[in-house]
Amino acid sequence: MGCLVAVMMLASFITVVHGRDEGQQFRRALPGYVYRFPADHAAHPEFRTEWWYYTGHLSTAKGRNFGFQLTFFRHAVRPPSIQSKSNWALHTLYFAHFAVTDEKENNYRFQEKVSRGALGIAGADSDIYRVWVEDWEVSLQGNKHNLKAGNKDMGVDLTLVPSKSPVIHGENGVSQKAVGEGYASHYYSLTRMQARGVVDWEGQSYEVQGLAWMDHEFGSNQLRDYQVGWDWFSVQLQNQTELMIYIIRHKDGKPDPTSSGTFVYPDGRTEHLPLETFGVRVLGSWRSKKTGTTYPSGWLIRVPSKQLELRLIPTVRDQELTTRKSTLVNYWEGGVRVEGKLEGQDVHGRGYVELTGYDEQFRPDI
Amino acid sequence: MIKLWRWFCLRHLKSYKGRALLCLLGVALGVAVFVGIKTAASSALVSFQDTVAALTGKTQLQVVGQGNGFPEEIFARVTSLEEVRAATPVLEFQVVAPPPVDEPLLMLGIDVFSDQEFRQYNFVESTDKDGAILSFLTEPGAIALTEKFAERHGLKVNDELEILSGSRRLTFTVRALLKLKGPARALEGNLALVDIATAQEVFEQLGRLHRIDLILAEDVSPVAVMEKLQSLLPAGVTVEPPQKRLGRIRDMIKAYRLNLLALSLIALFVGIFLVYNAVAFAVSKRRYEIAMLRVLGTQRWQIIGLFLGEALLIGLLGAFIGVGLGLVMAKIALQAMAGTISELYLLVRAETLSLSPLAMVLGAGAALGVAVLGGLFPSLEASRTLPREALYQTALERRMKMNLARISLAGVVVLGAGYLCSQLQPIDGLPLFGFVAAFLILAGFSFLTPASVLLVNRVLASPLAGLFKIEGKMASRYLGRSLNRSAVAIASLMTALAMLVSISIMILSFRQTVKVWTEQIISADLFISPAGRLTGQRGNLPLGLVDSLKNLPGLVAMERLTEIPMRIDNLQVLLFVSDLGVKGELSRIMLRKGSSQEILRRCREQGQITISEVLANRLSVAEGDRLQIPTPRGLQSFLIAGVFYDYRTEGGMVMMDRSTYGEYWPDERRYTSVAIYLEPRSNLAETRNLVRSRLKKNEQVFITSNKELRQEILRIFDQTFSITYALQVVAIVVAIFGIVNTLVLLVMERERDIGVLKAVGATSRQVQRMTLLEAGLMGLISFVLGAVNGILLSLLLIFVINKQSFGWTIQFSVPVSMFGKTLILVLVCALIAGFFPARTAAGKNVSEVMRLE
Repeated sequence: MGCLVAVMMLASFITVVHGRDEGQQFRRALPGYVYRFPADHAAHPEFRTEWWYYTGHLSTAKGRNFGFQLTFFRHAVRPPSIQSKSNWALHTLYFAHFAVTDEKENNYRFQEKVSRGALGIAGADSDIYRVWVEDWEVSLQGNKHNLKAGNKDMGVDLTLVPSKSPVIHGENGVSQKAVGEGYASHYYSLTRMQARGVVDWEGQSYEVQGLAWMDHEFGSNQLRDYQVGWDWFSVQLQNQTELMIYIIRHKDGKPDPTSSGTFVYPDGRTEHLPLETFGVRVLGSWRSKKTGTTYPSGWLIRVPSKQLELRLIPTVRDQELTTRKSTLVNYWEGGVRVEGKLEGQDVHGRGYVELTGYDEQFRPDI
Repeated sequence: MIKLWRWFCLRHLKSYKGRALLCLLGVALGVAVFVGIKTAASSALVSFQDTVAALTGKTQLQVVGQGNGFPEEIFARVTSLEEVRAATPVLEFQVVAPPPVDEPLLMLGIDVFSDQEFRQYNFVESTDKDGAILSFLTEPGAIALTEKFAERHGLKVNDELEILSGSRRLTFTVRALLKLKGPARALEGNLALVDIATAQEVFEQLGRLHRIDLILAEDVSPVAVMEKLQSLLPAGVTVEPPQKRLGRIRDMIKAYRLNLLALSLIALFVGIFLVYNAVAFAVSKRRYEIAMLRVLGTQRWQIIGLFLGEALLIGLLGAFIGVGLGLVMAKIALQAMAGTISELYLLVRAETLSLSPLAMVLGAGAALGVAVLGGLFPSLEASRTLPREALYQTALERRMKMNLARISLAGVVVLGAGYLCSQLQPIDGLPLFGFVAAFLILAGFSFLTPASVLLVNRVLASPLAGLFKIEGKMASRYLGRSLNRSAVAIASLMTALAMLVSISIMILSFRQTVKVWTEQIISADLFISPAGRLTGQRGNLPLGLVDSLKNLPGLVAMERLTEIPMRIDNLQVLLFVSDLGVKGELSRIMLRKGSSQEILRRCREQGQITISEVLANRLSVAEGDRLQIPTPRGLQSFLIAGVFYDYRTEGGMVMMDRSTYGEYWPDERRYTSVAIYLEPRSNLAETRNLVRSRLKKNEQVFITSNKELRQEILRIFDQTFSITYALQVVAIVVAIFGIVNTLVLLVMERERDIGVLKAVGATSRQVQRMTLLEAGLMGLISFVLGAVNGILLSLLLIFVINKQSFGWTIQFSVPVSMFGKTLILVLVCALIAGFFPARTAAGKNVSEVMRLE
């Protein structure tokens, strides 16, 4: 499920259009969707919103650790209008967020891009998987995902190869986000991808390899106005299992009943985890100096039915994105170290956590 | 010393308040004009600089096209360069919001997303803020205005605003307001934003951009990137740093500024004579006191100090009043100047006066300089007063006459130097030596004034005596004898008159030239042009209308005109595309060489071009040379068939036949105006109405007859010179102060003579007539000298200064009636000036003035 950021943004940015009939012109995420791969990696313009999200933990031969996040968003402001003759007429916005975490130096930086996609400067192909904003790009070549983003000072050029088949979240092809028909998305993940390539960081190039995670999600009308944000967790354990959990929070702090998760076995089998099957306890908090927002920091996740108990600790405390250009939302998205027990066995691994809706909804001037 | 000065000078100034005030006012006016013009000119420039700076933001390089911009594909090409970190496309329009708003606006079509890297537009938050911004981005007619502009016109979000663009009335809806920060400060808030898609659609610029702003990647050299980029761009599209635009504009108006500033100096020049007069008056009035001071042991330098101090006091006060007054004048001049610059060069809005410390310091310094220059000679002369002169009174005139030869010689030398200066080449396109020559000529004539007065006086002596009997004779004699006073007064009036005459000759010759030109070249019956037409932005006529003109009843031919601004060798040039076949047959152009018909035929049949005289001068090319012009099909070389006179634009023009244009430019079918030739005895009013009836609802055009068009050109001409006219008036006022001063002085010095005259039987009436005659005589001599001097100066203005700064050929013509009017003006002024002293003189009590004898 990766980035709810886009959805958060839509809640504010695009309200007006939602109020109009145009919102109805997009397809809703309904049960019964049948996935087909690799076709479903590519864009689904019939849905209003879509994102492709990659995170990973990379290390050099010398053991220097980097985390990265690269997300591409597509958001249809309105259906492509027949009236407008200009190539610049705004109907779809493309954003990209890119972050690198340097565990050794306890450092974290991010970049963002936004474009209306005129003249093919940004876009998302719907036949073959290729999404790009200017020179940041992800594309599929065979089963390889090629990622390219950033610049000489902070950039990645990676090849990701999935070692498990796609994991489809939710039930019956939909991942429900709120009570009510259509308040959902189609959501799948590649939970274990072998990554290899180059990280450019502060003037140096590092050959790296590691483990990555991909989320791809599309839908049209997901959140409701009483929902203020969410906490999302992805965990990759050394014993070839993975876990994904999201909790959507209401204004009053209560979790939405549709919050859920997915457990992935080493052989790729999955198990849907409804809200009542797991518990998440916050262990600490961190206050951002940049925005003054206080985020939870450190979690204890329990899934009693699986005899699973995991402790998640951020690799770097400040992994906050303040996206002033594209989505205009502040959120925390960062790598975590994971330790705990699964069926009595010690397990450890890595993960990524996303926290949205903790800051005062803010909107700087464009 | 201070004490002495206070006693000696202040007391004197106090007892002659009126006269001191007159002199002070004269100096102050001179300073005020200088400070006002300089402050206004720099304010206009500062305001433009602010606009450019506000709009530049973080832009490091700009890709700029000419005229109609360039294809938007170039944007993709430019952004793909790795040296380019960020790029944003811009469309830029100068539009007019018609009444009731009635103001020009700079309208930018921007892509808010990529623009964020460059500039920070601050939208005013509204309750429906997200919706407002979204509709600004997606609605076809959405516009964002600055709060300042919106408030001034009572516009709110969701209100409609009409815009006149070319021949179309467009209706926009205000969807967002901008705070007056950052780029929104451009043009004092007369800025409007639309989404780039809206801009392309509404202004019919689909697929085109006017500009691309660039931010470069770190550690790349802008120069290297510029070269690399340039190699990717088609001819006519250039990369340059944003400051370059500012430099171009500064270049465009520098000649205009310098000319105004030079004019403003003339009033200061006249001020020197005023101070001379005032101090000379003080000296002569206190000759006895000076002698007494000398008797009491006061040193010569102390005497100099006393009088120079008095002059400096006048200068200082003049500086203060002048600077203050100057700022008031600047406010008025700024409006006129901004209007002229907008009309001639580019849209500027200058509301706020930016105080120029330099202008104030220079103005104050000039006042003190004028005081010292004007006060020095009389002070020196005062210091030569011998103690024994306390006993008698007539040494002065003798001294002056002795120096006459030397002064005259100096005049001749200075005039010679002036002539040499007039022959020198301009510096950096500015006729600096021309202005030096003008001042040398003025100075030379001033030095020659005493000798000329004697000469004219001698010539006029017998006719005067014949006409006015004894009073005429006496007046003439007195004038000759009081040369050191009268010459100065005459010189000051002569200077003012020379300026009046020279500038009048220049303007009238210019106006006459333009008038003849309009009569020659404007021969079509009706001209149709877009209603919303601003400098630098030529709107288009509705195509439907142009097509429908073909079947206009009584139509003989029509000439469709397309004007495209472009740059050749960094000069702003207007490409003037027309149906030259029609022009050759039914109209004509005024050529430097060759026949209009023949040269237009060569343009049409052989693809040659004709260029304007200004352009030929600027590029140093002539008939038979070739000129490289950037076209969408690369740089092309054209043979110059002829050079024509044109007074429309300062940058120059290239005239080309439509068929030649069609070979190199994509067939755009856009017309900036149409000239219609009708059968003789056609009904113009009817045709006009017919054309008007063919307009669609939102279309608006001007339909002008040839007579109206000629008038319009002359109206713009007159408007351009309005500041000049005002400056002349000031100089004349200052000079009249001088005459009054001088005459009062002369009468005062002659108190005893008048006493004697009365004692021997002269009536009050005779004394009065004599004084008036003398005043008239001074006026006459000033006029004669001023006229000669003025004609010389006008030659300099027309053939050196104008030619070097603007490059226009002006046919020299001397307007005789102007001389008549000037003479009457001078005589009336002189007589009015002489009236009060004459009355005083007549009223002198014999016994009172004779007491001392």
